[in-house]
Amino acid sequence: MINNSRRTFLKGLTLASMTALIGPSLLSIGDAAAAPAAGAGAGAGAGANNDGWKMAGSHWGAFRARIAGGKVVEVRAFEHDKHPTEMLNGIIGLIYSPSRIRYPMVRLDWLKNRHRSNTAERGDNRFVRVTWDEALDLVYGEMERVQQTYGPSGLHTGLVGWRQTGQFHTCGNHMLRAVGMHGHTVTTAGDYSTGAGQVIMPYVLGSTEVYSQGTSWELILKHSKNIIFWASDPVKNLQVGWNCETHESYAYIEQLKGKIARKEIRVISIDPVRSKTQNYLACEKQYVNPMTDVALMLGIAHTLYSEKLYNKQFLDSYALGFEQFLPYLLGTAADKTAKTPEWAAAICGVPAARIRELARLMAKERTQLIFGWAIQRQQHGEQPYWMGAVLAAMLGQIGLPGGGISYAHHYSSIGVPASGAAMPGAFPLNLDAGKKPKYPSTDYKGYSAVIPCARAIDALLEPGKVIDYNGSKVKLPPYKMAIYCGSNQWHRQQDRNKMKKAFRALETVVSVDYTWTATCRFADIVLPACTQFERNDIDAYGSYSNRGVIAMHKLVDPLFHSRPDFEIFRELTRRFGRDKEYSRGMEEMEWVQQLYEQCRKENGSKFPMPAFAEFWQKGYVLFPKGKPSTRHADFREDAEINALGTPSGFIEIYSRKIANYKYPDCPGHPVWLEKNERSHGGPKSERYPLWMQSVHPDKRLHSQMCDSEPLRATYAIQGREPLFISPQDAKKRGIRHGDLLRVFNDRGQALVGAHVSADFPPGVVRLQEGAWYGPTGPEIGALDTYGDPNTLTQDIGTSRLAQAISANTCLVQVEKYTGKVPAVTAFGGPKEVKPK
Amino acid sequence: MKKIWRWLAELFSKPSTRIGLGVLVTVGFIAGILAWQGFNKAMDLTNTTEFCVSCHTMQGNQTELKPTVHGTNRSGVTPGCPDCHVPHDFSDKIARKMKASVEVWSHLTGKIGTADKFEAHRLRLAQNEWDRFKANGSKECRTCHDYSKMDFDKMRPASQEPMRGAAERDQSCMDCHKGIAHHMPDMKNSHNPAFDSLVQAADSTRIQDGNSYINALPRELYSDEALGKAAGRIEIATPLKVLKQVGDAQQIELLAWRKSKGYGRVWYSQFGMNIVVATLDKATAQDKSLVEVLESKEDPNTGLIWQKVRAVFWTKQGGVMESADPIWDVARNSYQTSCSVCHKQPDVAHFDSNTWPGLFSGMVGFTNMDKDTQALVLKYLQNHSSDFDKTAH
Amino acid sequence: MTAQKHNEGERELRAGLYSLFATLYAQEMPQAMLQAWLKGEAQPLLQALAQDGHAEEVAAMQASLDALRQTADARLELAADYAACFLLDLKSCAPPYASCYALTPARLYGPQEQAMREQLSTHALSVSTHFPEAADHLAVQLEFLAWLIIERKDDEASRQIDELASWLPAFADKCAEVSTHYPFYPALARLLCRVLQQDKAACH
Repeated sequence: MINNSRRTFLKGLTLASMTALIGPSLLSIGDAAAAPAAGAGAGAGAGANNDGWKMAGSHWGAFRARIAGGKVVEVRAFEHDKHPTEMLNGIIGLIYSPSRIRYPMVRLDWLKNRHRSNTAERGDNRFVRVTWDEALDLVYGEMERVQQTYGPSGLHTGLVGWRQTGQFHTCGNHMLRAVGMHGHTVTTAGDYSTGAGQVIMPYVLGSTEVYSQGTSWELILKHSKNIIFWASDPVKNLQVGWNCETHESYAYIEQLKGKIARKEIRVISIDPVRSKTQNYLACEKQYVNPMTDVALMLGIAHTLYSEKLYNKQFLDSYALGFEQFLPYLLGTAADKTAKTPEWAAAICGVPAARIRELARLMAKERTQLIFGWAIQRQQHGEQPYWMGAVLAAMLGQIGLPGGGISYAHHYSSIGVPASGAAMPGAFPLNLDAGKKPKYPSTDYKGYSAVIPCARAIDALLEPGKVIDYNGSKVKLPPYKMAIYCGSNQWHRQQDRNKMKKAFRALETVVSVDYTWTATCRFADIVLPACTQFERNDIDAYGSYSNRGVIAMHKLVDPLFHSRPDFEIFRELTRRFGRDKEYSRGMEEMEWVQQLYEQCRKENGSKFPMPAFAEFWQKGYVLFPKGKPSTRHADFREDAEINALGTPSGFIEIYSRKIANYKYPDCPGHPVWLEKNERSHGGPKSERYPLWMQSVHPDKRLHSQMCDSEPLRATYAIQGREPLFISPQDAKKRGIRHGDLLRVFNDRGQALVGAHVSADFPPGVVRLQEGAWYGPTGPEIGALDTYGDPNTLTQDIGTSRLAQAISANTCLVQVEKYTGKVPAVTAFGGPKEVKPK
Repeated sequence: MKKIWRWLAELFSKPSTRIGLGVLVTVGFIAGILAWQGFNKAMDLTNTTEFCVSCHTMQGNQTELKPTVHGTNRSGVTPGCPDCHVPHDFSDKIARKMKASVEVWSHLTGKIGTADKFEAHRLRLAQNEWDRFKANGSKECRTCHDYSKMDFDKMRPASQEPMRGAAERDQSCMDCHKGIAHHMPDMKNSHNPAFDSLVQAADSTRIQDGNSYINALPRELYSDEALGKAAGRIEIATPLKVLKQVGDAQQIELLAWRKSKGYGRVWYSQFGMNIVVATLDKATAQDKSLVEVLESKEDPNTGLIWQKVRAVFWTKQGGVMESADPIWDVARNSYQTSCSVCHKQPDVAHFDSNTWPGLFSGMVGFTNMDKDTQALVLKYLQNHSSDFDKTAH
Repeated sequence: MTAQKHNEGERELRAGLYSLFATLYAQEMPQAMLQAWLKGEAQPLLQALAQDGHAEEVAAMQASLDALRQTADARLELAADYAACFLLDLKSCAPPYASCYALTPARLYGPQEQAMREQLSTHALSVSTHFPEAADHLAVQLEFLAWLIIERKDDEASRQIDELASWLPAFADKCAEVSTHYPFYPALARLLCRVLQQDKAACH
């Protein structure tokens, strides 16, 4: 009841005096639930007629989602996924994340001053909301300015990595096609995950290896007597896949566990850390000092040679250059040092007797070597991979089932045989045949058009510098504008404080994403893409097993003002009259259907697929299991016809081609090279005694899902990223599990939570990559409040050969944090921290 | 309809069918029809969709047609089976029907009587139709689809360019639109349809003895004029010299390089570059009377000895073209489409010809390319690598 | 003025005031509206509010307007404050959504959003398609309150006031924490809180 006694309410005021200050109504007559999903509806506005179970796919696997009241309320693993990952629990938190970008935003100072803005303010500044039209006009205007002012060397399109899944909406293709229609840009070579491996292995085994299908698990389980997991943690890493992940490998790993228990297969994990895989399998562990694997391998090789355990016949028939390598191994080369087990033991911390034992064990029976990727993400990361191949060649089991070497059984269910079926294509990345960009100039003014991805920051700091790269010279281009789409440069690149300085050279930064990553916070124009769960798409089920095709139903409408990348970039191309060409006049569902029908056509009657409507309704089509195969078996069978892709066609223990480059950090055969910083007695270990490894995270996909609060709550400590540390190192520093720590070195500092674990040996700490960056301020050296390991890592190339990242060559010190505790800023948008 | 059916069934199940099946089938069919209801009537009767699908082998074909644009569309105008599969000219029609009696026979004798068996023969049957369309320029399609009446501007942007080009060349529809009405046969072990355009281009080459050409398709090499003794295989885009043409055969000369390690079976186009041009049988490769070694030198990048070699072989007549450009067009298209599904395809000239095989083999598993296309694309990449294109980095 | 007429006038004024708040929270001030504020068109309202016991908040808003009159890019500057307060992520700003104050950790589209949408629906109302926002957005709630008042649905209006009053103090506290260049929005939040409290007291 309204109280009549209120006499003073807005006395003397008339409604008329307010009307000019009141805007149009926000409500409309009519029931939202009854009205058709109104496109512009705010996500949940699609209404109840959208409710029910829907099919979705993701890097974390396929799942069914229940929609109620227009919202995703429940997620259940796909019924054919027998080993779903816990990370599915993060999906709802990802969609409704408090870190979602809701509107197109522009940095205020940039909006006022454009390319003359104060770029030192980035990451700590004021943003304003703009309409989509304004935002895209600004992006387009900058593309015009940059092409006209600098030409193609002025614009950088950032490498697109683990984009959201979905073959039509795959965002990199949208960005590259749209921007490519406008003009040429500076692009990148290689990637952050396997940068060294994918460059060195073609010289050695004739393929990138890191992305190659490997020997089928069933053959390994049948034929291997020994399996060596060398710095490989498949149980952790197989949770995610490049396309929609099937998790089929876990069934084999389960069998392996049984075979270990029954002593049918011996499994040794060579790793400084007791890995998730090792704990799961209950297998043997072989500790090795961090970054000294090559020394250990040389010690093993020396034993194989001196005890005549190596396969000479295999080397003669299938390999080149063993004789050039031998002097180095035996101590008759320039360094006059025999790589005996005793020599190795002093470096790698494995006793000489144990090294000999390992050599004899490997040579005695069928031995499968399985390497992970982390050891090539270190200085001289080419060497452990090359030396691994030399070991495998000496053992002579390459091409035999259950023998030889693999570099990728931890990735996307490699080792599960391919069904043989064709998978759906994607939205075209390239311009259509015969089409030219609006600015056709390819005049890079003498700078390189393509740079190794990890050197993108060096290009900003030292433009014009000429660097060596894989046998050629690269002149770093002085790009002035960067566009990132679905890629978090401020997660994957090393050395934040160096980046902060470098980014000041950029006049304009555009970032397209669904969540306020650090890359968005350090951008000038931020465009909100919707998540993959707010658009229709299809995806391959199983990147290597090609198990089937998955429908990705739109679960809810795009939240707030967000849009699919397709619409964002089509609108961009409309600004130069190329939108019809861009979309080929087709809308989302026409594309999805066409990709499906093309795939269906390719599969023909060998892999029958239902008509689109039936598929879409059912949500998936599965193909039968493929035939098992052995990596390099064809090469072993006929090395002449099935030659490797190396320069000689044979395994190259010594590469003349590499030797001819004359790189001191990557000579003609694998060598042990000291790192510029190394724990356990290595350089700089007195000042910073702890080796920090930044492995792929257990409960994220790189930086994806870090913003999913319910999932983060299961591992964060005091709201910070956990730093895993040994009980010994913790005790020495008075640290207890759950304490707040400061981890630091000369490059940076971060706040983290102490996770004390006996899985870690003294001198080794782990801070998983992908933890979001949240500094206390814009100044260089500012404390990172959440625990991004790349605040501490160094941005140097692995060598002149691959110029890849060296994140795992990193020493730190740790102390209990006693200062005033700053709030976590990592999951916030850009904000100003100036005192009021 | 049922009557014809029963009559045919009876006809084919008679013991007399053992003698000269082919003859009996064709002659018997026509004779039977003549006897049955009179020729014209029979032609009309068998010229309906109902007749075709009265046999259940064909019901599957009708079902798979239904969801396509030729089965259901907004105007409701759809072709029946005979509209596409029976020529509209009277003489062609008879020829086709005589051929069809083999198919009917196959159905009755169980050769393709079930869906599974039909699938096993789908490629062969489809190839028959494709060959027919190739020969007549897709005449039946063009009863409705007329190049001269197409408004290219109204087409989807992606279709405009290729359709304009096709119209200019008066290209046969089925060159590009295979699988438009019925499921595609399993093509994994057969060639990329784009290769057909290369065959077509090769067909129009005027070959003169003593001139140099480019091999248009991977094919067999023989050591004798009768094409009886297999010698190996010559790859696509391989340069060769035609020495002479004798009937269906032509004698060619290959000039290439090989490694001295092994049997020397694999021949390469350039010194020190692993660009495969031919693969020989072991005996052929070792036959000193056939293979002439012109020079030997060490490859500085591997230390292997390479030999310059020459040999003369026989191949089927034709199959060569003046320029490799049409081959590279096909390859470029495959590369740009297939290799941009996951990421931006690397600049071709970013790597040298000996680096490409390693990179390519590491990634090609993600594509749907068949073996021949893989070999073609690799060859394109090698021939346009930094060894040849010095303009790019 | 008869009591009834007086009540009618007051009803309109209350509805108008909540609509005005809804307008200010719905989006940044467009140029024309900001000009109206800067030219003093809000003076009668501000004075009346000051007399109603909100002098402190009104003074802060007046100070903001004075400062903005001296600023070249007044609209953008105030828009940046608006963005800082409401548009960025939900951690560093004061999210204008009821759900964010009911759930820990804060999440969008919580049960409050669903409840609001259902409530609108019972009156055959929905959030305008021109305003692609969650239904528990403060501006929608205020607009709805104004509608209830005009429609004389006093009991429901009273419940709506209670509902808003349950989270607005936390919202206002959050606004106060945000670093803004002008005190306009933090003051506005305090003002809204006080007006609601006053109204709530009057209702019971």
